Amino acid sequence: MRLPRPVCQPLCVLLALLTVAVGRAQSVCMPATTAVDSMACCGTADAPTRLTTHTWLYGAGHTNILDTYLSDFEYTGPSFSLMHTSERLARWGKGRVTVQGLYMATVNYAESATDDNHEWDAQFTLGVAWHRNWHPVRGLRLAAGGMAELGGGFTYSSNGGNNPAQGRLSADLAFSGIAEYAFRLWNRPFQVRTQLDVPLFGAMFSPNYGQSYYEIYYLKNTDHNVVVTHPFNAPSVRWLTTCSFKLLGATLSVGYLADVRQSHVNNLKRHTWNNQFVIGYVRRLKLLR
Amino acid sequence: MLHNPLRALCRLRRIGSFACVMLLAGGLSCLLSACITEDVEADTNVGNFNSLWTALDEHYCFFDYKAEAYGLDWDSVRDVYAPQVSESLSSRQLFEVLGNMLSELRDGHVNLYSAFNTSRYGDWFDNYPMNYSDSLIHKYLGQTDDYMTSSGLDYRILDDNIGYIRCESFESGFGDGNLHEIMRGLALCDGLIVDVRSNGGGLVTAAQELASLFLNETTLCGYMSHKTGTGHSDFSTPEAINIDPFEGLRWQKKVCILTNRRTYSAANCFVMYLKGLEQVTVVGDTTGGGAGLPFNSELPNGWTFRFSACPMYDRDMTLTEMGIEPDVAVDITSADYNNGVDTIIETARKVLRNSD
Repeated sequence: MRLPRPVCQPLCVLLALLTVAVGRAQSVCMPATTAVDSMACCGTADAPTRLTTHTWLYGAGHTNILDTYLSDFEYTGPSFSLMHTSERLARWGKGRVTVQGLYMATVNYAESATDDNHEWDAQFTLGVAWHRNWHPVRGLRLAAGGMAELGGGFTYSSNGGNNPAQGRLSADLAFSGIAEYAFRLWNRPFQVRTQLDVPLFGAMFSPNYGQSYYEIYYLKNTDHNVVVTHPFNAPSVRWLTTCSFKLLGATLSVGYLADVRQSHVNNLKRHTWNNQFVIGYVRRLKLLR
Repeated sequence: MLHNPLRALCRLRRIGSFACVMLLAGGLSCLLSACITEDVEADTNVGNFNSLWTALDEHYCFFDYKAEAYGLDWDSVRDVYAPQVSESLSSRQLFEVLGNMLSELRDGHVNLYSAFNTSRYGDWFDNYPMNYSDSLIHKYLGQTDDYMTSSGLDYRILDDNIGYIRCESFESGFGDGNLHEIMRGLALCDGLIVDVRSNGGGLVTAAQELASLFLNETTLCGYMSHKTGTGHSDFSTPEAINIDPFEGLRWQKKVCILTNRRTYSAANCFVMYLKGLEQVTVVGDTTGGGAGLPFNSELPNGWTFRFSACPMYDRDMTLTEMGIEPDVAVDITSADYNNGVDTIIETARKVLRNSD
């Protein structure tokens, strides 16, 4: 259950203070210092906190899109995204395992080098990850695990014809690693965090080299349209690095997101390289149920 | 706790393990994230020429067929046209050379588009009788109030109780309800003429929709395949094009389809779907062909081009790229033109009357 937003902010502060207190008392892993600790998602093995860290990030940046089904040429342009992650201790794993949920939507508008043609691109990603956590030194959290991802989207080209758009649907299992460090600077709490997700095995939809969508959807003629993916034919990575800090009572996050999605299947090459500056905020909510 | 040397050692080991895993993952991702890119030509005259030649070499679907039909050799085409391209050519001169090269494919689905011109190959109809006249058509349709029109289909009942449908394009779908009403209006006719002369095509699905009116059961109407690689012979196994009958209403009497050299692309498919069925007679001239579903792509300078990508075959696995011959071949005679008579429509009326 989520509480209304006006209630959330004071509650978050309260929870943050509570978390600090709990962290100081019980945790060997919590940087037992200040309210910025509320940005860390961690509990103790004996007493899971039931707190969920929600992070909303809004991104703006640049995209490079290549899809040889539509054109042999790379298109570039602005890119925007919305990402939400939630992270909490798992009910199992003796307090060492966290579970993370992720959803992300990206929209891109790109132009050809000559500005004669345009592409509109949209992508959504849903993911859930489980991380084993280590807290080797005060303030530092390291985590590694796996993420199950589901992605979909499309690219539409103004070039038209019978190949005006490319649809995408994929599912994969990814390696996911997190490094997180909380510290104080200028007597203020900060936290830097980086997360790397690398798909290792999965499946994706792709038309065959010269196959039309008319054949696939109207005539129901399929031809290797579900392809097994691995790092050799679909080397992709999502790398998010943020710095969180307190400002006017809220916890803000700023950072950089590199979302590299690539594939080379059915003799078709595709890449979307999104480089974005992200800004957002962090909330810690307690599950009441 | 950090003072405990054993724990510290253990922790260091964990850090080391984690660092190794992260390094491994990072290294793996860096190594394997080797960028997937496409090598493209520079935006120069030679680069644009090479880009166009190569794109067609890898994607065009009728090389083998046309090598057999008229000796097309794409490598020789490059040898002929490459020397004509230099950096001193103006855009219009380059366009002319590229357009001429594309004409070697003898394909109405192959075009080059620039801001100032569109190259197109027209010998598939230029060198043949037109066999169609708007003025003649309107002699049969009559004044505006004499015929009905729905979803782009003009139709009326001729004075010998033959239904006549003029279909000048498949650019948009007809709509089941509209087709239902049209066929209800013509239900009492003794026969039906569907005139797709000078119909340059459009949506294949619209052609299937119209063809479904004349089928009583799911019918094999052709085959389709696509390229699976860059080689001239890299094709998938052709898959059947089965068309379901129109829901709730089907034409059971004889039908004549009128064709000329400008019956092209989706209109050619419409003829391909129905030719050979017992109640169907194709009357007129050989169709223009155009049996490759076209794809689009572009050149480094922003010009776009279109090419045949997915070949379609009739139910006997014969390519109809170069046209479909009519069951009853007939041209509009000069005398008939002068007398306001459409020889092809008159022939179709005779065919329908004689079939009773």
